Amino acid sequence: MNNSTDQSKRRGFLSKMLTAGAGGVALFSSAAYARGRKATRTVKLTEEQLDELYFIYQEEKLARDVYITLGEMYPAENTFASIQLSEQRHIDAAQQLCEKYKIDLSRVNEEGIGNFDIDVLQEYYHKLVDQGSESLTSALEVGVFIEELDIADLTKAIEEMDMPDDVTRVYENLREGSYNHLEAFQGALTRV
Amino acid sequence: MQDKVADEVLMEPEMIVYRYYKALYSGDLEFVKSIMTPKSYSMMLESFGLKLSFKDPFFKAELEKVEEEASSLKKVEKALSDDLRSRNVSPEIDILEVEANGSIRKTVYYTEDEKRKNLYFSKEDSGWKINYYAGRPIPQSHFTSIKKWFISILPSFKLPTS
Repeated sequence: MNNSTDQSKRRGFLSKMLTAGAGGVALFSSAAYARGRKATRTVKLTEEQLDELYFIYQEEKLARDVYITLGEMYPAENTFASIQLSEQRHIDAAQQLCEKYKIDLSRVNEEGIGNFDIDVLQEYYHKLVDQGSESLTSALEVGVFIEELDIADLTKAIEEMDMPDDVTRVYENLREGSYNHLEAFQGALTRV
Repeated sequence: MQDKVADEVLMEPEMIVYRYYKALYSGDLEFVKSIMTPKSYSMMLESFGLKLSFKDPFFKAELEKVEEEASSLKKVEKALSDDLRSRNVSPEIDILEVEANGSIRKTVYYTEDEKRKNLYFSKEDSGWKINYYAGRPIPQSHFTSIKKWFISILPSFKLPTS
């Protein structure tokens, strides 16, 4: 979660995207998130890699659910409403990856706002909503916290898990989206 | 110490749930660390340290470095241990069900002060550990499916009693 390193990594990623000329559109389409830029062969993932995919999917749900709940608490603050839509695309992209690798998602209740199968995410949800309920500033700080958490976890998955190219591409796109959300929450904090 | 370690190795997941809560709210993070996978332990620190990290930027900065720096881990553990002890919480834990997920994973369903919860476990070299990443349903092998089917039709082989 080192901001200056993350920002420079992000700039590197952005310049790569621009050089490849494939950037912008992919960031706004869940299908593009999930497919990557070209079709790739599905390889067999290790158990640890499959666990990571399952976890990241639900971590994206955490972001959406917290923003929905905080958005209802602070309806005049548009940041939550706009980012929760983007988070739904993140969930869809992570879900498509899980389905591609035949991960059983039957235990995940995606529609249930604030319901998590993983204990630590359930705890996070309650604590973050509780923290965000203190004030609008706290709520926006919660947004910053969630995005930093997502960026850190996606970076670990990309750099340490030896994921295949298709997963890495999706995770890079998700991380790029999280950087955008982080900037949006930081910007909103300066206006409060 | 030897006996303590031997006891922990043999502990079943449902027993670990009781011990986890007892250790957690008495601030015994050394024991908590011994019953969790390293990755899950770090996440537990982040989750239970959330309140502190919003209040104290110094704690937040240390929390972000726990996986890289032993001195940061120590500082975070000390602050969190004091915080957890001061909460003066002693939740009532009731085990509802233990479900196997493949051969080396289990899920324990329980209530914490009547709130329904579950924790995932994986069997590591040193025994069962709390592992937040172990919740993915493991597909049954063909052999397991055939075995289940065979067991299900066994009654039809029973000889008439009269």
